[in-house]
Amino acid sequence: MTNGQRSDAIVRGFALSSVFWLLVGLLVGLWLAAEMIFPALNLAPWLAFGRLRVVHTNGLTFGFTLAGIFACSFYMLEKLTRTPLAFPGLAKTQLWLFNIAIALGALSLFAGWTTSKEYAELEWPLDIVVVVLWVMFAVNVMGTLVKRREKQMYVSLWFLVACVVTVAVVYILNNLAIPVSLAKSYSAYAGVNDANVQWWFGHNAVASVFTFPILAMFYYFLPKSTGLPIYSHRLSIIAFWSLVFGYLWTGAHHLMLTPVPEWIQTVALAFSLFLIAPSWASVVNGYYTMNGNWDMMKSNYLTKFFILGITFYGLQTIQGPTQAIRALSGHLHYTEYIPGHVHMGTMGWVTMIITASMYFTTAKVSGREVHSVKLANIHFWLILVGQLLFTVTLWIAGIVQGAMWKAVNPDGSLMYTFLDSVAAMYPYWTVRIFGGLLYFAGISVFAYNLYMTSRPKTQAV
Amino acid sequence: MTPRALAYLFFTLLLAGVFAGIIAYYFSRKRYERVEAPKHRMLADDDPLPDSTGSRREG
Repeated sequence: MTNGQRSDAIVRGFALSSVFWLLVGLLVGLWLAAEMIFPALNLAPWLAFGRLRVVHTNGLTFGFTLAGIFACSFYMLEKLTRTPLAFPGLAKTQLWLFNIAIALGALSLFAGWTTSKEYAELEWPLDIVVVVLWVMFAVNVMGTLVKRREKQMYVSLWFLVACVVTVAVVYILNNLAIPVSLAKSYSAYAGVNDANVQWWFGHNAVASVFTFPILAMFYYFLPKSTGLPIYSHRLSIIAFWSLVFGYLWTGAHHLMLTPVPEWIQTVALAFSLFLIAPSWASVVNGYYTMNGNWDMMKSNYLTKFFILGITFYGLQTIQGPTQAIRALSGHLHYTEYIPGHVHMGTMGWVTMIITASMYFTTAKVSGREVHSVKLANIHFWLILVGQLLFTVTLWIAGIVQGAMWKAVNPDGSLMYTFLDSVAAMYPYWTVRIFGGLLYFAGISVFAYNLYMTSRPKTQAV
Repeated sequence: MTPRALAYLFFTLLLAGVFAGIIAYYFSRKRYERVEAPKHRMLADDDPLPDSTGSRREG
């Protein structure tokens, strides 16, 4: 087997793993959404909302997104460096270890093993496995970059390097803990410091996993699928350095109006607003790339995924910083608006870009065209409508919820009880399930289409 | 101003200076061709990798 064939198999393996964990994570999400309306669905401890919620977030962040990142990164890395993977055997081991780790992670969360730190719930034995996996990935990325035949680095490679470095730093520092048993550890930090480090990690997990590598894919696969060069490479490089410069300071915007020192909150707020500029530099770069070729939105099935994806990124990066403004944070934080915001990023931006990139890579490594453009179009419209129904409903729900919590009578007493605000959410939660079902239907179509595209050529019909 | 405050100020100015330097470097007219070159090269047909059979990875 040649190096090329070996890395094709690795790309295909990670792509199919990504789809598998996407389906699992979404099914768990649907069950969670149903539990909001029918609490009786908390049938057993391992099906309780508190346990399932972390299986959902970890399964989709680490299972689906990371596997998609690995698949597309290995593909882009070889193409942009014009060099085979430095250690294909290591990448193959990483593929197997990754799937075992995600399965063990899900089981441990079902069992209730959790650090209770959001997005960092895995207990210390699994943290060690995650670090080992990341070192394996980093060795291949850096090793291939060192051996590269293409001297100048395209912007996607810069974003990939940023992903490798920042995930390592924030994951290790936030997960420093003192183990007391196999299933329990306590954070190395205490009180406000713990919260500050946790959200420094939490927000930079968003940067490192949901932004840098996804932008790398956007900058690579939009030009490759349209044949149009990106509008401005230097603008993309400035956007890269600005994001790297600004992102690491913004974590405390998750802790507005808390005991965290006010100056830290203000620094986070200032840098959050600053980030609008580099984020929109990428949005504008994408739009200008299409200048004069907007008909491709109809004629090229992948273009609309990338353009809608970057549009949701743009909306997300306006919404996020404005939520950091104290007055708005005071109204919206802890309400349904926040999951509405997060899901536009994950269901709109991240999933649109990853699924489109996987259509491209899987077709290439399988040496054929995508199985069905028609199915890809159905997939697109189902996830677009499902996502909009889901997120817009939750934004409205959050605004209503925040207003109910703050409404007071003329004598200063609260106008609504907390239970009133819960009951008021039922219609919105019902609409959310329909949005989720549409989205899941779209992803099921994608899974079938990608599987058919990835089959070995000899089995093709 | 305390030494600590001075250190913070120096660090902030240093970061801002490095950032300004990066922008000046990439937006220099004399480097325009070189900085923009990768966006065209990445579109070129992907060469077969050095030790692959060449039966794959075109386009």
